Formats: sequence, C-alpha cells, structure tokens
Amino acid sequence: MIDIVEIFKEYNGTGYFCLLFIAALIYLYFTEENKSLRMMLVIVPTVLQVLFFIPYFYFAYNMLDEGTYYRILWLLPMTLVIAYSAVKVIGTHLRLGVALICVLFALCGSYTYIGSVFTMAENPYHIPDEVIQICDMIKPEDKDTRIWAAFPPGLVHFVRQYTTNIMLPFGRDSMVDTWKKADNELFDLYMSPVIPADRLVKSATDYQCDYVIISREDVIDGDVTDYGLKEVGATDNYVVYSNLENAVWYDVGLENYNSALYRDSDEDK
Amino acid sequence: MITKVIALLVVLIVIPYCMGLLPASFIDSDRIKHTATYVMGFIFSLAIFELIAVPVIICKADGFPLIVGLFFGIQCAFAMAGLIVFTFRVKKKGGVPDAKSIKDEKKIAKDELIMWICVALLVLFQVVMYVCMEAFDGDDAYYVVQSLLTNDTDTLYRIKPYTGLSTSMDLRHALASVPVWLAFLSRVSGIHPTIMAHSVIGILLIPLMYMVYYNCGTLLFNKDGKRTAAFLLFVNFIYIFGNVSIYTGSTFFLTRTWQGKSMLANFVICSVIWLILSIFKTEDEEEERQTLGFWLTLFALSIVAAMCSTASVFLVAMLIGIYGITMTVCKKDIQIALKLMITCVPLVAYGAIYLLM
Repeated sequence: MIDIVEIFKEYNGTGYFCLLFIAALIYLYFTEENKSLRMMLVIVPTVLQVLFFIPYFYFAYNMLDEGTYYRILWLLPMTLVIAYSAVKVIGTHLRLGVALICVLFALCGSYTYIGSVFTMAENPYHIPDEVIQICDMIKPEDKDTRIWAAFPPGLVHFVRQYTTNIMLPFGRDSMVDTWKKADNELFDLYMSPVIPADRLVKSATDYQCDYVIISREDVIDGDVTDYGLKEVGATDNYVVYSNLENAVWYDVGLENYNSALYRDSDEDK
Repeated sequence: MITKVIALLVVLIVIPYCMGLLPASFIDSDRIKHTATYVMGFIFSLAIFELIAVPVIICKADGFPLIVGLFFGIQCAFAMAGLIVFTFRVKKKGGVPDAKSIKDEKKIAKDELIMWICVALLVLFQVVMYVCMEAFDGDDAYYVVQSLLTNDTDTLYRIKPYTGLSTSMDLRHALASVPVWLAFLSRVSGIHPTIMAHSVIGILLIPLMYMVYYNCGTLLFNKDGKRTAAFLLFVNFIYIFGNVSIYTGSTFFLTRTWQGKSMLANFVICSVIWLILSIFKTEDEEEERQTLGFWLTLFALSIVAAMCSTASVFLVAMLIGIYGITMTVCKKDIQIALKLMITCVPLVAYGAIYLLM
C-alpha cells in the first residue's frame, strides 16, 4: 500500500492538480444534471481511483508490466473533468472567470518548457551538432557498409539516431542502472575516473572498433597514439581517432561482420 | 521540399479525411464535424496500418517494402470507399458534416473570437516549441533508431537499435508498430526518420489531440461556441502547465510527442472518452440516434491502442471495461456491455498473441 501511495504522490507532484480534480469531481457530482455525463465524468473516474489503490490490483498489474503502475492514472480524465467543471463554475462571468482560472492553472501547475527539460534544438534531428560532425567524419561513404566506433557514453544515445551505418560496442542497454545491464569492458573503461590508454585501445581493438572518440574532459593515463590510435579529427569537445590496430577490420566484409555477430551471441549466453 | 510536403499532406490529411467519411456516414449528420471526421479517419488509417504491419513484422524479417505497398494501396481503397459511401448515403439526405456549424460561425461574438484566437495561438505555441526545442529522452535510442533501421535496411525488429547487431524478433516491441509507421512516413516523404519524429510528426499530433478535445467540448456544451472555446483554453493551460512530474500524460505529450506511449496517454485515451461520450451522452433518455460510426471507430481505436504500446492492451481494455460496466448499470441495458466487449476484441487478440508467442 505504501508503494501505491508513493507512486500516486510522485505522479501528482505538488498535488494541486490532483486537488483540483477531486474538487471538480465533487462539484460535478452535485451539480451535473445530465445523468449519463455524471456517470461518465464522475463515477467512472472515481471507480478508477479506487481501483488504483487496491493492493491486489497493484500486484496483478506488476505481473504484467512491472514499474509502470503510474500509467493507470493516465486513464483518469483529469484534464477533461477539471476544464469542464471550470467552465461550469465561471458560468456567465466569462471574461473574468477565464482570466482567473488560467492564472489558477498556471499557479497550480509547473511550466513544461523550462530549461531543465527543454533546450533550444541545434538542428532538425534534435541531437547535438557535435554528434553529427563526428558521424560525418567517420561514416562510410557506401551506404551498405558498416563500421564500428566507440563513443563516450554521453553520446551513444544519439549516434544511431543520425546514422545506422555506425555500429556501437555498447549502447543504452549497458548504461541504465535499473536494467539487466549488458556487461561491457569498454563502457566500464569510459566510466572510470582515469582511463588507461593501453587498456582503452586494446579493448576498442577487441571490439573491432575502427574509430575511438574521446572527450577532451576525460583524464587519460598515457597517450593513446602510442598504442595504435591516430588522430583524424576533432570537434570542440571531442577528439576522433582512427584505430590502426584495427586496420584489418576497416573494410568490414561479411566474414568479419559475422565473426563479430557470433562473438556477441556468445557473450549473451 | 514541396514534394515532401505534398506527399505528407496526402498521406496524413487527405487520405485519412476521406477514410473518415466512411464511419461519418453512419452518424447523424448534425452531430459530426469536419474535425471529428478527420480524427475518425486518422484512427482508421492507423488501425489499418497496425493490421497490416504486425503479421508482416512477425512473418517476414525484411518486409518493410511490403508494408509500404500494402498500406498505401489499402488506405487509398478505403479513402475511395469513404468518398463513395458518403456521397450515396449522406448527400442523398442533404446532410453535410459541419454544415450547421459553418452557418453558426458567422455569428461569432467578439469575446468568443478572442478566445478562439487565444486557443489557436496556444496550440501554435506548442507546435513551435515542439519544432524549435528539444527534450532529451533516452527511449529515443530505441524507438527512433528502430524507425531509422526500418527505413534504412527494410528489416523489421531484427537488429538491436542500441548497437546494430542482429537479434531475434523482439515481439513485445514489435506488436506496437508506431516506429514502423514513422518509417513509412519517412519512406513516402523522403524525410529522415529522426527529423520525422522530432520535427515533423508533432506538427500534426499536437493539433490532432486538441481536435479530440474540441469534439469533447462541443458535445459537453451542446455546441455553445463560447463555452467550448473557454474549455479548450483551459485544456491548453493544463497541458502547458501540466509538468507536475515526469509521469503525467501532459509531460509525455509535450516532451515525447512522437512516441507510442505519449500517443496512448493522450490521443488514444482521450479519443476513447470522446467516443464513449458521443455514444452515450443524451439529452433525452428516449432519444434515438445513429451511433454505428462511433462504435466502428471505437473498435478501430482498440487496434490503434495496441499499435501505441503493449501496455495499452491492458489499460485501454480496462478503461472500456469500467465504462461498459458503469453504463450498463446506469442505462440498465446489457447490450451496452456486450457491444463494448466486442470493441475490446482486438486488445484481447493482441494480449493473446503476446502471451502465446
């Protein structure tokens, strides 16, 4: 039960909209003359709210889809009920009423387009410009060719949204703590406070990476160029290296591609 | 550029509207507006896509071109059918959707006009923010890349989006074919799938959801334009200021407009409520109305729900079920429960496929 209450609290944030919703339900229960509307806008949402708090229902839902119980609250027609009752409350005092209610909603809620959620888009892809610059530097010209590249964890979400010709030794599935993480030595190295240059290059070569991208902010113990990497380009925050040690993989033929595939399957097992 | 825009207008506006004429022909003409016709057509269009896509995804690993061809052809056939049925069934009776409201629009008062302008500006504001601002969402590394992979390689859910390695079919995600639909739009228009998701499709999806609310408003306020405008103004404010947590429908709507989950939380659930209101809201208990079109749309919406997210199989069935039980008790008519159960058949079928496979 405590879990359910926590989910409810987390979903409703400050709780003001939730209070408005409950107030709207009570108001409509007593004032709505149309019987069908009262059933659809008051009784059904109330039943849904009650169901939400029943522990058996919570356990049953978790068996189907764990961790998304808050989605039951999506079924509540909160916006519709609040807006409908607000219009009924203001009655004929439309001008003043609309202005006051809009101010009330603004005060009760939280503005969506705030800086911590939204930033100005750098391009129509809505991914960082630097990712596009790096991808354009390294992606093969032939659209049927695939290459492997190791990117810092902060960029892996975006790379394959721009081009699927670049394959990654680790992706988001290695990064989300709450998931059953796919073990990846290269990811662990990128995440370490000091990255040993020799181990980074060896691991990148093991993963057949043709390119290795390193953030200028990363602290590297040693010089990666001593171990077979060659700088081929740079952006404001990242340096792009070609992996000479991996030259054998540079033109990824079917045989090498399959070899990579099977190795990954073995690791999965 | 012009070709891309025209292609999208045809696929996303013209064809769905013509398809919407099909269910609209089975609704009393004074109760249906152009926006409702369009929303219903859009729902039918998505439902047909899901019905074509899922079997192909399961049976044919590289079946994307087949989906594109089949869907385009069948969609055009339904659009033609819509036009023909509408012409014969409705125009014969002299009823044209929205005809009454067009006459009413001439009498709009100044207050109301100002409110409608505010509503339009708020919707436009959200559309502009969708295009110009970006909100990071980790799930895009799966869904958007899935669209891109489908468009680039013609393969369906057989490559890991995160890394690019081959994998067996991921059925849980494969049943929800929104990423493939986005890939279809990209293939037809030639726009990169990531741009399609992040900068294009929201231009339609945001106004589309407000169209659903508009139709709810006209129902709730019996076509009183002033109050409907005030209602929509409030709905806009609740959405814009609805970021009270990362979980709310409004947060999903404005931060990940293009994802199936967001479509479920907003467009689908709101449409279920609109259709149920349209079917059951009566001023007079004895009133006889033609609602077959709404029932058909609700059935199609169940398929669209499955297209948006696997979780919707349970969520939307539950919503329709609770409405069914409540309305059956209220109206003392067991047929209501039976009819609503039929609209849930696609959800049950998807649930069975998911559990059995």
